[in-house]
Amino acid sequence: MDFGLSEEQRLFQDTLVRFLAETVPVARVREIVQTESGHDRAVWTALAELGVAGVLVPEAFGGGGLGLLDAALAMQALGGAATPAPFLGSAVMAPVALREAGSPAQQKEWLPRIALGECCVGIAANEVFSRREDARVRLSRGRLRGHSLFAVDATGADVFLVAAEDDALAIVPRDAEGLSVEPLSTVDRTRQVGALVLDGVQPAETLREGAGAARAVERMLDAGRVALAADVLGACDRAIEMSVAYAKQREQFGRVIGSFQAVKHMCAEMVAELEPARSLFWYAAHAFDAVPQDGALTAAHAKAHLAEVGTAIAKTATEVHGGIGFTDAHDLHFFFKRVLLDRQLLGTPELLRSRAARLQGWEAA
Amino acid sequence: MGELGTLYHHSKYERAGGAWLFHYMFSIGLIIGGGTAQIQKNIIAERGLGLPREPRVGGR
Repeated sequence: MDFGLSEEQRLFQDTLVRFLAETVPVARVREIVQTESGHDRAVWTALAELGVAGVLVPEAFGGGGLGLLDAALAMQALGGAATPAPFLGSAVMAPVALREAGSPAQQKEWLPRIALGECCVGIAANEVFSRREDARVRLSRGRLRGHSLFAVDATGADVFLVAAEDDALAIVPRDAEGLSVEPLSTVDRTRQVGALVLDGVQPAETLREGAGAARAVERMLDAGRVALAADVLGACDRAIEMSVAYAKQREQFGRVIGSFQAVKHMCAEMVAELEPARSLFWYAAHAFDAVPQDGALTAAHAKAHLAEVGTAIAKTATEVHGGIGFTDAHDLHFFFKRVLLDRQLLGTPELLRSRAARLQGWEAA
Repeated sequence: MGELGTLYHHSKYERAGGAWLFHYMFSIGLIIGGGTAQIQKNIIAERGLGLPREPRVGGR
């Protein structure tokens, strides 16, 4: 039995890595993050043509019909290039929610447009697992009221999936009356996080309500967590690659700094920490589709572990670079900040480990 | 601080004027500035503990 990636998976990821290196190098990322929406529609359309936007959309709706592992491999490539693109919301979380709880008519309406990259979906569901600043969203008598913080891929979204209290999941167009979207400036400018204020908004429609919606929200969040774990891995791979290259080139005291054991060990420790985490997110992604009873638990562990390994690597990579690693002129900080936001989004390690304990029945009486 | 800890640029949800994030980032600069942690450890080991210096290597 082969536990590695398939030939198709390797090819898909290599193609994407090459495309991003050529089309959206960090120099281009610097320009894109200065724009209002924070992402480049042309880049997203090109990624959709490569099958990236529709990776989780069933073939019947024009997508690739692939699994979460394939999506996570794409996210790893995007993390490794610090690409500003609405992949997490549009290509991972929205298709999972629509597959789980959308009616056939809703799937037919939204999934093909998602796969084509025509419709970018923001996800407002933070309050399901972490209520901050009294944020809450309620659906009553067909109207959404409240506010939601840390909505994923918000500023460039055409439509939102909003998780409201009492297990409701609503589709809300960007231009719906009573909806305002406020960008949230986070440490990572390559992501478009926002706050939604809903003042009696009438949703376009709601997905299946009750237990079906609750499960869809949980599945959507778990898929997002696995994708974020892969994003950390991609960003860290890149940070290590940059550190090793720098250590081989930068001279101090008449030697390249990589010849000092202290620097050598920092590089080796980063690799030794990251390498075992690769199979952790592979298994979490595989389990999400093939071993559903393990899906929630492994998603929590993969995200929590990579968040911690990732922040340590981001810090060490900056140390290996010395003063230059701390400047805006150098590209390293894009990956450092990407990891910092990945750590906090969709559940911090602390929150996810409590969740893992609960899932394993270890909750205190 | 969870998600709120990532905010800066005077967001209305920001805590303590973004000081926690700022100081976290700045502390990494402090590990490097004025001699990296590795250089400081060499000084402690060699000057403080009297361990032998690393042999000097000519060129690379």
